[in-house]
Amino acid sequence: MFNNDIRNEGTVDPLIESHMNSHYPVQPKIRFIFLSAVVYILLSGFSVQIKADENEVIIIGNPDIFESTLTKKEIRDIFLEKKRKWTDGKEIVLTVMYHSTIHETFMIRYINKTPAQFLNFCKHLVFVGQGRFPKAFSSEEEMMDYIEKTSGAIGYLSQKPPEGKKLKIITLTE
Amino acid sequence: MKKLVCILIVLFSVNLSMAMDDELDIHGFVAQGFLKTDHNNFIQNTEDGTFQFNEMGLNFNTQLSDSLLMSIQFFASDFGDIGNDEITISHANVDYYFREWLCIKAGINRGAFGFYGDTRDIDMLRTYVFLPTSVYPEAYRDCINSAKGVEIHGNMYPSLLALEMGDLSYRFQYGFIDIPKGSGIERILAKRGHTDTLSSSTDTSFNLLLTWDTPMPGLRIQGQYVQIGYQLNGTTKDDIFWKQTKEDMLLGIEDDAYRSFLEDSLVITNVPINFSGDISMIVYGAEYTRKNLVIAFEEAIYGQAFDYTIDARLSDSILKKTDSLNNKGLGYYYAASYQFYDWLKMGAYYAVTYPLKDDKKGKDNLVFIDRPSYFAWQKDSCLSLEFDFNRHSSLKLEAHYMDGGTQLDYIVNLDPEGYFDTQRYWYLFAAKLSFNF
Repeated sequence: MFNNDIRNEGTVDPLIESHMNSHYPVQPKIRFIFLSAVVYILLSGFSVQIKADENEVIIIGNPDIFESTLTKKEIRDIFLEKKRKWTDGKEIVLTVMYHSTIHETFMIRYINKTPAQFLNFCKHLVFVGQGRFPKAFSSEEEMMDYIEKTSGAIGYLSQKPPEGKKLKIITLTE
Repeated sequence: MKKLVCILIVLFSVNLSMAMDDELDIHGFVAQGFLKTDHNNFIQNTEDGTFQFNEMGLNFNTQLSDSLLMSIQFFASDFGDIGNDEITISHANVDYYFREWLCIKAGINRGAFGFYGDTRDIDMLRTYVFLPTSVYPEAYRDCINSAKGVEIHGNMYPSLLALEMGDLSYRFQYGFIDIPKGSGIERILAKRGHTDTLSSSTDTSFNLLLTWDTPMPGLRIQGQYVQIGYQLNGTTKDDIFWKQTKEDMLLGIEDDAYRSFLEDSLVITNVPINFSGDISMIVYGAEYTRKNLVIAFEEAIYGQAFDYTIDARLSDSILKKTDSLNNKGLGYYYAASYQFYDWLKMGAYYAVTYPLKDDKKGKDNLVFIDRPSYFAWQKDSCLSLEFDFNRHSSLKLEAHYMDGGTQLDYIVNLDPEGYFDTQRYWYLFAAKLSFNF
């Protein structure tokens, strides 16, 4: 019954017709603005250059971490919380340093996200019950101190850690 | 009372957090919106402008052990007649991480839906005030927000002839979705069946979502199937739809005397009707991210496959008539967003909705008999600006140019005359201020 063909051109209510035919004169202008905006966005996206990608990144971890080497893909899976435990079963504890050049470099080179996209990604994980925010620090010293005393912690630096710091430098493999 | 509950929750959580020595994370968000339309009421009284458009949530999560993550989130929202700031639990679960490819979550789980469905309540996670309503219709919000039951999820790394094929992640959810009375889906079904609803209920549901992060950096492809058992009881309306249906039923009767008898005696208006069947959703799409640019396309097919029984009256006896209702709706969108600066993001999308994919002009189906044809579609051109003041606050300004009225009667109850007070072309302006910590 719900698929009965009950209409034909001769039976459409005049009131319906009047609504069907009414429209704004500005419609083509709106479409033009909308399409222009989309084209501009697309063109802009393909011309952007991010210079932060040229800086050095040192991946560091707590000395009790079993792994000594990680691939770029493994680093990405760790920071996107797809991989949440080390090989020996310890919990992976993430650390980040928002608003720093090293954070931007690390994100683009290893995570394939901009810092803003990564932050949104973390908020997404938390607010849908899929993960936790990484521990955030405002300096490399604070980050090193935390990683040194936290089992399973991993982070990144812009230069090698000073002598005397008990940190594992994780080598990148292909 | 609600405020007292909120204060108690916050005080309890702060004390608990201190007692647990920083192991309990507490986060939250508050978003307040404003909506204004030049014509048509979208949600409620938007022609006059409305602030009845807000969300707030409080989230607690903690790592119970190396493998166990526990999370609970209280949520309240106001969305016209929906929500009314009642405090609900949007998720409360324990996630057991066995391997990267096998995790099990139990409790009230957030419903997986498309690329962005699980962010619907959380304004700060997207560029747009409204997700494209063609694929994320407000009417289906209650069906896909959360389910009590289990979720199995994980990531795998397929390869073909020693070539890495990217990441394949899956989420399988099985459980019960508690759809409240007066929900959008109840209204849709009642409107399709021209029925006054008395009660509705749900059966178990299942949901499978597959996401493939392809070897091409930034490109991911997704496919999903959701099925929800649903029943609705009500009475048929005394309207032109059922009168026309009765005429159609009598068309095949050749005996004039018998047909005349039925015309006088058979009653199919204001009689009990029962719908029982499944709501299904198929969603697929692709998203490409390149640095600050995100481009996305998604398409959804919404199915309603129901058997219905009418207790028609014939003289003093009840005549049970059974038949089936099979509707398929279609929605899709194209979207692009770009982050110009840390503080400025712009997005645009074009979204199209057809509640009946086989009647895109609203001319063939009896469902549209009592309303303008433009209720058979909605084409939404959206332009959005997001200003991020810092990590914790943002303002969004958004303009929509609409052609059609499909989703006008999802929320607002239009009477027969109300349909003809609407306009085919209309603007919607939305603003939203969000805070999170």
